[in-house]
Amino acid sequence: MDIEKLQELLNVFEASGLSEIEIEEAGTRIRLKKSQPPLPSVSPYPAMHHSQIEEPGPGVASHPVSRGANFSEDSGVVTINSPMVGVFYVAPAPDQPPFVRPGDVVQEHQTVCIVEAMKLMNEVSTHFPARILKVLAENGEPVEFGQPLFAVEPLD
Amino acid sequence: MFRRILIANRGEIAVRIIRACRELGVTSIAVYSSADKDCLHTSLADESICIGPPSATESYLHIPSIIAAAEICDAHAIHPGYGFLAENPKFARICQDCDIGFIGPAPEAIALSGDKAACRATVKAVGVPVVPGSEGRIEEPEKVLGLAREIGFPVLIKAAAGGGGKGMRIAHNDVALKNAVALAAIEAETAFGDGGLYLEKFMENARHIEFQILGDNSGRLVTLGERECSIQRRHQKLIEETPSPGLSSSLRSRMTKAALRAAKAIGYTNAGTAEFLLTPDNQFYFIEFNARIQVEHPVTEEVTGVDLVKEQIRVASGLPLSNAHVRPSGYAIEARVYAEDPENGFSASPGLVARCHLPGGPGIRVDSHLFAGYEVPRFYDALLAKIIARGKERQEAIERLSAALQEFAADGIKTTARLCARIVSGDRFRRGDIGPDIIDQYVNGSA
Repeated sequence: MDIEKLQELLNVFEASGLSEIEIEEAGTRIRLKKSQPPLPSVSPYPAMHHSQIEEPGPGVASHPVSRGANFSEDSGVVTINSPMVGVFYVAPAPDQPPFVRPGDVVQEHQTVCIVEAMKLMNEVSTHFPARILKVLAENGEPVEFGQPLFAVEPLD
Repeated sequence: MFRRILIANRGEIAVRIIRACRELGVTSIAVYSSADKDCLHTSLADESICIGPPSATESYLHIPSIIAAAEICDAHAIHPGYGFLAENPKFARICQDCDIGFIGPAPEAIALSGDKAACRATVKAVGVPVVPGSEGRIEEPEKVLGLAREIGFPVLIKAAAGGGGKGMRIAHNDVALKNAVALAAIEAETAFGDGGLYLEKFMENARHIEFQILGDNSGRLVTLGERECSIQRRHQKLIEETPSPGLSSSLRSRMTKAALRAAKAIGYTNAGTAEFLLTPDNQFYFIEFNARIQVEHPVTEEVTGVDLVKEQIRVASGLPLSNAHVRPSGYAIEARVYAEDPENGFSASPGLVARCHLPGGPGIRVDSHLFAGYEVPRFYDALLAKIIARGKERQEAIERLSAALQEFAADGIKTTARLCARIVSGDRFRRGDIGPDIIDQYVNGSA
């Protein structure tokens, strides 16, 4: 593979939402990997931690809802977002195993977590079959409306 | 004192409450719908949390989301502002049950203020004049005619469960009354699922005057003077001022006493407003009690120097009222700038405000959430800004307000600023000849 072709490949990879790619061609194998995967950083609740000293004035507050915007359809990764404000739980009870783990395949309408609001346990389910890639919120963490909870890969 | 307050509202009132919190050294927590993520209250508050989608019923009106937000943010109290959940006794009670302070009156006082027939009866029982009409609901429609003749036409048929003009009809004679009762019942049934009606005398050309009440938990109640609110469009106020032009000191004193009696009978604490109709022959009648901070509260603040929102927070946290004797001085007038088109039936005018200018200068106060780049959402109340002018004399306040309204600019949307400017600088307003019909001259004239 010549330099020009490699450069072109790098550009295409850079512009894509992919985090890793491996190409084998006529005895040459090239593996490209981005240092930062395109998953959002899961800082616990940025809006609740920004202080007026660090970020004075309007227009500077960070909005956790924008997290997850990194995901695009072409990268094949989408997020399941919280349908309400509340507390995120991965399992039906503290001593129970989690509803799902990374790598699990879930079916349409399968419960993936619970968001508790006013002592009511609201089950959150998927609207499509998918593979769970990553859990984006911590168990017991407060979550906002629209906050990404899982990165998933939709399955046809 | 509460150290962390969640503000269950949006727009200018949320900004107003955030500012009061900041002065008091209280941490403010804004809630917002996904449509309001770039709003001023969201970015101005110390902390913010998204509570739901744009629809108010799923966000600002959704009690479980508000309570959940308060709990996970460790809020000690909730300020409801006005509108939304401000006068919902169920919400106030849930706050109580969840051990979250509610910055407003007790749930019982909210419930009584909201039940118009019961409130009327309570207030009438302590000798406050109410608009002549039926005792409670009209139970036997055949007796309506007799009652209407007794109190005198024209009469107003109102829905017992009503609001917003629905199920309301004016009747000037026997035939019209018969039709009005039938139509109002259907309308009330459709709108509220309750066809119950009551009857009141229609007060022609009556002015709308309200008294600001403030009460603490020790039972102390004070009034901070009146507000003249007769200039309205679609039963909503547009221009308010204090003191009310032409209100004699003896009449003011009698109305003040009536307002205090009404508040006491309702068991009122925190900030609220007793509303009256004042007829051209200076007869006044109690109409309702508003159990919340009012949109037009700044005019009272400007002449008394009392910060009503700070007082609300103080008394809700159990502290006594901070002002023993309030002596109002000067004049204050407020004009409401709505994102509406006055030349098109006051239809809503949402959209992007690419550029804007908020007026300033001596004696001008602007309470607003507007900024260049703000997109007025179509989901909520159209109030954009309140421009308040203060003056040593009424004349001075008028000149300042008129100039400020002409200065106001918001590119990309229609507003009521120019209409307010024309009214305020017109002869009738200058003379203090204020009545509910004043707006018709300007709106019809421009149509």
